[in-house]
Amino acid sequence: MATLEDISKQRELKPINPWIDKFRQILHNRFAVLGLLALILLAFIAIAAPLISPYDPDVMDLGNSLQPPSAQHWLGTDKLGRDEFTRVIFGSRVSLVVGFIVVGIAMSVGVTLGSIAGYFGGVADNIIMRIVDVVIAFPFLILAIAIVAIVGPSLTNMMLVLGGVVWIDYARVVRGMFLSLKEEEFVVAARVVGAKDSRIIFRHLLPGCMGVIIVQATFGIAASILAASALSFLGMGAQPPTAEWGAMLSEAKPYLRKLPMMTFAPGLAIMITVLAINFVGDALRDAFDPRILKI
Amino acid sequence: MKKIIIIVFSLLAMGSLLLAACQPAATETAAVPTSPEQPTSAPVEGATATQEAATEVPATPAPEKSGGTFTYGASAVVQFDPPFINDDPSFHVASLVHVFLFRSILSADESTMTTIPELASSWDLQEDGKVVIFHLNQGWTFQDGNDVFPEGQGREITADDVVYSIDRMVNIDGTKSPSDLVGGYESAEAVDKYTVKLTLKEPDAVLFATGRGLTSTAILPKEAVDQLGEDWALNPIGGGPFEFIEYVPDDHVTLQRNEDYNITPYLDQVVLKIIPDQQVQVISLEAGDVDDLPSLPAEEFDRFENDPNYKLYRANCPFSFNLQFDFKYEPFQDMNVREAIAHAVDGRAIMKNQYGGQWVDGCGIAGPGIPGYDPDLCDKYFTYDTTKTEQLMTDAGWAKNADGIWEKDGQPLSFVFEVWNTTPAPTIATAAVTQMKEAGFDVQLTEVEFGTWIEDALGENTQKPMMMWSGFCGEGGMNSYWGRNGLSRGWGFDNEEVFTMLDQANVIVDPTQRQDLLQNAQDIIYGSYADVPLGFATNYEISNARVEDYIVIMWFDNLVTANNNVWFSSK
Repeated sequence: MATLEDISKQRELKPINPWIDKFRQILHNRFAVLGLLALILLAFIAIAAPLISPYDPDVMDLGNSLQPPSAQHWLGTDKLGRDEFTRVIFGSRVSLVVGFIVVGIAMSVGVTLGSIAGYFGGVADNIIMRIVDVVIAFPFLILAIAIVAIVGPSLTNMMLVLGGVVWIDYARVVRGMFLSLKEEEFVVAARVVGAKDSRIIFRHLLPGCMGVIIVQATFGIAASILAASALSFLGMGAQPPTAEWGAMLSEAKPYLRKLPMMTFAPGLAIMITVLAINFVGDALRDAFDPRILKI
Repeated sequence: MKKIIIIVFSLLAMGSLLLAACQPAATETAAVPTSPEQPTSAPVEGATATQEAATEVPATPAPEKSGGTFTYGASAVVQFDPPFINDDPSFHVASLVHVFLFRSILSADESTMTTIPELASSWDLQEDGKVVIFHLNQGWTFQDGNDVFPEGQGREITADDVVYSIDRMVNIDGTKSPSDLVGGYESAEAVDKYTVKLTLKEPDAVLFATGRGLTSTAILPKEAVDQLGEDWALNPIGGGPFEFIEYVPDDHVTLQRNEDYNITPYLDQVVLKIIPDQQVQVISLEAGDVDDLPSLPAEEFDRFENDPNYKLYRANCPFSFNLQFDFKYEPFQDMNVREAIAHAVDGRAIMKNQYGGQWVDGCGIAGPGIPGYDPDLCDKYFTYDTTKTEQLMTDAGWAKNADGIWEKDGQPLSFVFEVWNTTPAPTIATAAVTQMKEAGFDVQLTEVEFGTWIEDALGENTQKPMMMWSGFCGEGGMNSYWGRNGLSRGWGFDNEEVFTMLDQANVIVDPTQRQDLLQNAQDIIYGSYADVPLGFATNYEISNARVEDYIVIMWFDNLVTANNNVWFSSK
């Protein structure tokens, strides 16, 4: 059995890049590998959608509507005779783009405000955290629906609104990390030698938060895809004829019993995507969590 | 733990696949034709002649037919005060609780709507239709056993009640009374205890037409309205075949047989179950939780059409779906552009795809069977022809840019198309938008909640370049939409020639003259491409097969009239 001393000796002999170390840990998690492979496949499908899909997602064939799965239409056709398989493929583009953009917006706003609140404290912290308290007091989806109802339903508005609502998670996490890290000796040392605030934030504090932010962002992508699907299902997100999984579910609702594949296909697509991202997220959390020591 | 989660998800996924595979084919139905029960006698004709008493219906119900609770699935009810009712389910309740001078029903051959007497045993038209004399039945009473009329003390309904009710319907603030009645009403007076004289400024050709004129004027007891005050709207007392028992908000409305009505209903109770979702309504019907749905969703029509366990009732009022231009949007002031868009949309294919067996071929606002209907309108103006679209747009000075979008002076023809978000409107709109996009129009479809759509549609300053609308199916619908005070004014429609023709049509009682006038008005409206009609569809009400003697029309619930009395063939 290896002792801590042996391990430290080994590490002294072979210094390892911590990021590579984390990546190796993730690769040891079979579910994470499965999730990663699924995400790579999804990304490929999304990028190559026009090349691999047999039809145009918006082209109607009104005389061929509500067809069950067949050799011509693997997942059947919808009410307007559009190929369901093609629309599921193109739906991956929207869902992935929504996931990344929402998280991008939320991260930009949340990390910035969380950093300011955590590092400077005082009035800035008070104002920012009270805003966070107000936003957090509303049920997330209800707040998003209310704002979309005011600004008007569209894919762009939905992404902005979701980003504008979920940034609080990043702000809280980053603030908490900053409050803890800024008391560490290396930060105190940097301050003593006269480092500017911006240097301390960007060179010393933020890198220390990256692990947590990445984990948060991974789960955030999954949550955003689910929220976007829910909003589109309610008619508040992607507008017809855009192929979006939530909107496709909504369109399929009247035909649930007549043609269950119409509901099943986009539903399964959402489930696989979210599950894959969550598998990766779980592994990332395990890898970055200091309380879980991997030997 | 993770393994367990994976196994559970895998089982769920496999289970869903199996369920999907085990669904029966949609076409597996027995070929047994269904049709609504026929009225037992020919109804009396409409407003052009003196009315006679209706067919005799036994006052005491046959014991073997008595009993049972008739249960509807209704999306929602709001309130039951007739002048303010704006939705079908609420009017269903009102039409069961209240008594009317006459009722609209479907003719024996199901081809036209007609009227049969109720409180008024007959009526005469005088002075070319400017005066109508109603002769009331004697001995009819308001319902008893409530806060206003104790048990056994239901007051007799007299001419004063009719005068009060008509006057209130027309003059109360915020009334939803039909515009022809509001505009044409001069006075109502009680000539004697059982005779009412209604005087109009001009003859009203649609005074007796379903949904227009006097048809929604229920006869109310003044003391009940006064005594109950604010509670009146949710605690109606009338003289109709069923008494109001309770309304539990968002749950149900319960009515019970009015033993004192002229015809004793066979049914013990009527219950309206509030079921907002149409698919859940259908499931409730199949589960036997409700006996009847006022509107069968189009996508379910094929499944029930030939099922012997159900009866379908066709509403004789084809309603249209139209794409409305906002004339305040500059490009749509050019008729070439409007016509180009009209030829880019294949309304027939879209409506046939959506409604299947419920689809009715035709264009305009007045459908088959409605005065003003023009069978040639589609072929005359609205053929699907994208070559024409190209030609018209080019003639109007537009050219396609690199993205294939029509452009003029560097400005692409880009506009928002607003539609309400309940089935089937978004599907129909999506099909139209897809075709417009294919033809080079940059259209952004926006789905909004119905209340927002109404606000936008009615708002004079709203600029939604294109909106979808539907309905206005009945007699006088053309006037309500395209008339001088019609809904289209909000979109900037302004054509004095059309307004004058429709004003005249309101007062011309001769059906042939009215038909010509309305048809000509419609020709001007649609010949100028004021909107793009996609086509018509018919609503079907559905009940389970044990419901007997039901005569269905839109808006009204005629469970008990002089011509029918609904009963259950099996309890």
